Amino acid sequence: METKKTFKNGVVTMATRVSVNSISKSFGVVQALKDVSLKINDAEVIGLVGENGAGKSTLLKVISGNIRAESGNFAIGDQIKIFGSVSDATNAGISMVYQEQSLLPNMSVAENIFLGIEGDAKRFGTFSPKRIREKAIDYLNRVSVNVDPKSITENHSFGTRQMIEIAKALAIAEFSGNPPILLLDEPTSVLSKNEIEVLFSVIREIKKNTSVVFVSHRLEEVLTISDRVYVMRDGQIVAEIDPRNVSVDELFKLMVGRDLSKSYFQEELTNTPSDRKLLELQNLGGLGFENVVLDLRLGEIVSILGLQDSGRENLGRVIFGALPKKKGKMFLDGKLLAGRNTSRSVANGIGYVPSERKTEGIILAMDVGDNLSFAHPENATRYGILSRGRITQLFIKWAGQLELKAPSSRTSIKSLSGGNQQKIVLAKWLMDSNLKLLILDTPTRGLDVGAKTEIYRILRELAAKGIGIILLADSLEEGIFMSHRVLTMKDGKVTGEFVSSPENRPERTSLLQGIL
Amino acid sequence: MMEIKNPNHFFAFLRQKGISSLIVLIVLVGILLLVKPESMSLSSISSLMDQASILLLLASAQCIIIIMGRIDLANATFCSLLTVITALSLNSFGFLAIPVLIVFAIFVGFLQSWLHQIFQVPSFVISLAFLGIASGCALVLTSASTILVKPNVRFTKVLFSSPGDIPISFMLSLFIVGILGFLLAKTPWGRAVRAIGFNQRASTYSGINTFWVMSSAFMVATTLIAIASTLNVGYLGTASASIADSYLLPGIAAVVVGGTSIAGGIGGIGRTVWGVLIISVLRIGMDLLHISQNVQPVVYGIIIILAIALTVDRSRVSIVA
Repeated sequence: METKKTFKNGVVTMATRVSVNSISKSFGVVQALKDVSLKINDAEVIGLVGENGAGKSTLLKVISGNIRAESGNFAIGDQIKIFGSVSDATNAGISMVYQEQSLLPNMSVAENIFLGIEGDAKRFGTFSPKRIREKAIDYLNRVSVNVDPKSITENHSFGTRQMIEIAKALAIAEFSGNPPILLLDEPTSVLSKNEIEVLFSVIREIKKNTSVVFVSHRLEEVLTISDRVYVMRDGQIVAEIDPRNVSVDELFKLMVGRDLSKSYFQEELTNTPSDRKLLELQNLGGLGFENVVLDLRLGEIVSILGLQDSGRENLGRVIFGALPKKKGKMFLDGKLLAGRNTSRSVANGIGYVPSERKTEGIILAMDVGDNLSFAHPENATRYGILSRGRITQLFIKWAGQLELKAPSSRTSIKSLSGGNQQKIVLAKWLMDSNLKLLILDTPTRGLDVGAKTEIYRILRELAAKGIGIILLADSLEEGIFMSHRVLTMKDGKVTGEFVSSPENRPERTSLLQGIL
Repeated sequence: MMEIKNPNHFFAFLRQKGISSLIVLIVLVGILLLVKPESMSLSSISSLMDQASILLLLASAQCIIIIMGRIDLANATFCSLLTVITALSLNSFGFLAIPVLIVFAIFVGFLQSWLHQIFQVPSFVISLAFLGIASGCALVLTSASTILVKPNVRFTKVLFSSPGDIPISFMLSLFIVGILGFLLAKTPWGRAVRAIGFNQRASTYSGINTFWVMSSAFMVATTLIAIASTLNVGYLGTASASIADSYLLPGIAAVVVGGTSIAGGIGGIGRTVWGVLIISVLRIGMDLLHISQNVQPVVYGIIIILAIALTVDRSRVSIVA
């Protein structure tokens, strides 16, 4: 088989391939990246770690040309460049493997790989089936995937599609004639153990002529696969480490910026839940999960850990009534919940904080007061008519209680920071004197450390008041330290249940077994 | 010297406050006064209002749908059908026909909303289908001829008598539309309607019963259409299968010229009133300048495109559902 490798700098050495110089980028009031510099060498795997919201994804988007930086540049060889578009980056050999897959499901594998870079696979303006097939097989071999290039993409498993995605990124990067740089944004988050091992062997294989930037939450993985690791926190690179000399715990401390101290998770506010049952799930089943059994007591925080396809998100939505249940029964305070109607759930005293704050939690185009009083407008009306005066009173009350940083109820919610927006989402439910159960889907995602601590404090205080909380935790640590009980879910089933108290916390490894 | 960083900010401010349409109205009236000073007599204003009352009701019906990020293409055709049914049933059953008709209209509004939501079909598709059904039904009912309302059930005089130069029909529609505007701007229901236009998902996640809010909005819209058709019968004393069809474009034009966003969320009835006045003045202006009736839809089409191009917020990537 003939493969053309026309690299400009034919020889592979450990020279610097790209250096990223002083990149800054902000979104509104949030400074996502502050003066970030790093080097990507030839044939090297770089690990990039940081909490959610530390700026990893933004950094990758800047390097891949999806976002234009406000300042800073890239040095490639002796050229200084600023990427204004994705094609600028791919011309330099940089290609991103997207977290949410970007393959077109109803096209063939080969067509997907060469989408947009048909090049010499075309003859007289149309595809030459033979050429494209040969080239596709070449790329598929390099990622150890043995599928027919003519087969339809959506018929392959998730793990295979991820590999095809990598093959596609390789093809795009090499089309530029430069040695490729692949950016992998949490490639392992939805893969099984075996698939992760395959991915790692592929990375080690393509490393011969390719640089890889690898982003993952799983520190063990990063330390295993990387040659060098950058640690990000609050939009900055705070450390560059050699993975051979650093343990997972040390890496975690660098990431969070402090010891996993008691104050971060507000452990001194831990309450003892009552013995009374609040929520009972009997063999609950819905889209993507089944047979969930759970008893939640008054004032208890139960966190649920699981990957993207574990079914935990839909479980939360079904309890709130945003998705229909398929099987089983739900009882709140002994009363049967019909589900399937969020307004009835709210009337029953259930609140829900969705994971996508900006598109699901708040209405960006409305002001703070409207968002605050949206779920319980009875607190903002006089004779059924919305009253500015009452909205202002509500705002003053909740701004005080939650230390909300916003000038007035008329302020556009768009202009607030993520943490303050999330406080408004919480206040929307807290103002209900009848609130019994709060379901939170990754409520701290994308928030800075300070805002996270405040959210934790609010949750602890709610639990102390007897409100039941179901927390779909954003990280292992959050799940472990914030709850009285931890449930792990995998492939739609509950795989483990662990009691958690300040004296006796579940082990990371045993939790991971239930998740992976 | 004060520097305006972004000239768009100025227009954005006008747009946000709904002032730009008022400026357009003043400019239009000014031009009309310059070209034909005699056109702004009391009698011509009165006849402007006669014409405006039906447009006001239809545009308001359209407005409440557009605020939800939807569109109702059947709006004017449904008005034609209801006009035909009103005329026929007035002849057979007398004035009792009118409340029955309104109940029928409410049912059709619910049906439209139910189909749109249960089958997740874009509203323009559903309303296009309703347009076809309505216009066909109207043709069948009239056998494609004109129906005359019997003299004993005519109420033209009452509606269009003008105490103090303002016709009762206009005051009536302004009153109805005013109540709707208040509900839309000041009640939790109205806020929910606007919120659905901004972000339906977030509304559901806040416990808003989006199915009922949307259905009630559709039912309010068809009720307004039924009232418009009653006025239409009263105004003309006759009915034919496509009698109100030509209101569709000016209705949508009035909504968007008034400053209601076609993407949903932003807007209101007050702005639509300005939009209706602009379109009415334009209409009279075109008549005075002897611009043919045949050319007028071209003008409305261009106005809709211009208004959308000038007001659309490109940062909000959204399409009419």
